[in-house]
Amino acid sequence: MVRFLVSRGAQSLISVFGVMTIVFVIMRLAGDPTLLLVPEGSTREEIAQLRHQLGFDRPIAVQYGAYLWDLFRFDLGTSFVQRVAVTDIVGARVPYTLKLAAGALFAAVIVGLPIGIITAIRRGTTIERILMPIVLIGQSMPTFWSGILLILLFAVTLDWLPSSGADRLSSLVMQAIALGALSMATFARIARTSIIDELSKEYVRAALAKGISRGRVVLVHVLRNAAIPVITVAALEIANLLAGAVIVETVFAWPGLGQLAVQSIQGRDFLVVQALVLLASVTYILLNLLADMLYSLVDPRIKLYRPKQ
Amino acid sequence: MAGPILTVADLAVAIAGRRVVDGISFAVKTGETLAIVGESGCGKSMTAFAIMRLLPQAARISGGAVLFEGRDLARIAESEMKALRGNRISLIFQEPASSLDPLMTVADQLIEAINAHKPASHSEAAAHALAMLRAVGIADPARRMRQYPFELSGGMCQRVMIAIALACRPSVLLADEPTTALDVTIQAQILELMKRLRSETGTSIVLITHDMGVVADMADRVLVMYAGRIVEEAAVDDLFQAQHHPYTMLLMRSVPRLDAPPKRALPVIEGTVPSYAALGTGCRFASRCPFVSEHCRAEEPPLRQIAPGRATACWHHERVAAAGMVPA
Repeated sequence: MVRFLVSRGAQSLISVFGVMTIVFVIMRLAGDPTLLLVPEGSTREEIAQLRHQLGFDRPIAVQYGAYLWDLFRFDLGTSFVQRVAVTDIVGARVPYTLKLAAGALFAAVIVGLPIGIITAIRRGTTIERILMPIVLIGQSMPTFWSGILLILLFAVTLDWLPSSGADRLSSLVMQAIALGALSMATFARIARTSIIDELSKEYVRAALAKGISRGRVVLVHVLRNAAIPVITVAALEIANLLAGAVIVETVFAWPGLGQLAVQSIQGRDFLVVQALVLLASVTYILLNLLADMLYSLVDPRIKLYRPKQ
Repeated sequence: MAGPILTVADLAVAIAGRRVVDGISFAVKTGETLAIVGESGCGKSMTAFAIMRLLPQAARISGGAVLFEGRDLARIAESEMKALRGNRISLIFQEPASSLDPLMTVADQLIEAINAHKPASHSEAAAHALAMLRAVGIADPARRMRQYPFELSGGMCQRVMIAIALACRPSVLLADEPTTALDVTIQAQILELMKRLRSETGTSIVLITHDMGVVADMADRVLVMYAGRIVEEAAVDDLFQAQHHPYTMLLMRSVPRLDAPPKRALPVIEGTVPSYAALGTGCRFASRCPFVSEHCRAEEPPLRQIAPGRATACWHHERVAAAGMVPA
């Protein structure tokens, strides 16, 4: 188990290192980074001075080393637009996006998983025909549209919930639903497929042959075996929620990372964008690591597996 | 031997309106081993699943009765059936490795079977489970209890399945190709184990197989199935001595023999089992039968008794039996 965690942790570190390198390369491929940073109408001298000040005139290997060293110290630089440390700018937004993602994930799981389970074990019944369209709607409604429809209904027409802002818990409700709808549909579909797949396996019939009830077979045997694909998807879904946050936060004026990304791109706040890309990538890698650790809790074959020497 | 413990009468199983098991009848006596032989798709596994009421979703019992301990299993409520499964009638499967839950320890799977019918404290159930593993000849059972199926060999998984099946001392054990997935030496061990447990417990065994070697080794009586019907029934020695149905005869000839000349092609039964959609009015084996006549194509032969304990569904069974005496 320890060996498994150490090896997966090391693999994750390599991935993080790879992401840092790719971000560095892309930054350089885009041309002279100085040009992205200077205000419009700057003179050649001003540009050259800034280039020197930022160290972009040094050899590329030296720049790469300095870049990695800065990242190692969690120094992401200072925003030229806002004159504030990038870590402070990003850090201030993180709690909002975490809150939003948690809300969306909660909504997606408590609606999506039961729908998946019910539609799998009650195939071909009326309840399946009622629930599957919900999955279809979650799957196919674009967030920017469902967000606006939710605002129209609950904020404008019914006046139950605030249309924007982040000051109260009630302002989280619509955002979480809009953001979580797609994940809900994904959870429902994956859980359904996975359970249907497990139900056809021989051990289900063998368990029934012991004389235990169908409900117990599903609860004790099928759900646990069906959990692995769901865990994989859950890790990826959380990452997708961060991506979806860009749209939802814009529609609902939610002061999270997604809104910050849009504002930074529009304001050419280059270092903030870079920090957000790194943060998103590292989050993705960490979530995958977390998923792997969860597998090993669910499935003994993973944690006990020893590659043959 | 005493009277029958399990009687199947005119049982039919249908999938999408087609009868894949078409009116079969047989009886299993206490302590007896009855083999059902036939090739893949002849309906032998469906028969076992129908008796246990564990048919695949698309299939259902479309007629007949399964009489066991004074009840018709085809008609009793699911809750009554549940109380019998694994308790009075057990089933073991072809693929032992995939018949165990991969995420549960051997102990938990055994204890689950015990607790389903004879609720006991955890330590009592665990002691019973340990005793069962010992009874099926698993070495170091205490260690095996804590292991997962993937840590066990196929033969060991089948021993665990047998331990689960026999944990509540059923009076009938249905064994669906219990040794097919195992290699030959393990096969022999599992068959020995089943024989030993049968003599110790008096459990009747319905052994479903396509392996004539297994039949010869294990069975008291044999039913030969073809395309959903029983075509021949006989005591095992009688069947090996003389076959009264051409399918049985050809099945026997396709078994490799040690005394056959080397490098000679193994005899095969030409053609394939007819699809259930294509069944006509005549004998189902007519298209592959060397003895076929007009009568066979026009009218399906019923299963008729030709001697005590011996029946065949062939118009020409005497010619077949006579031909079988001549070495092929």
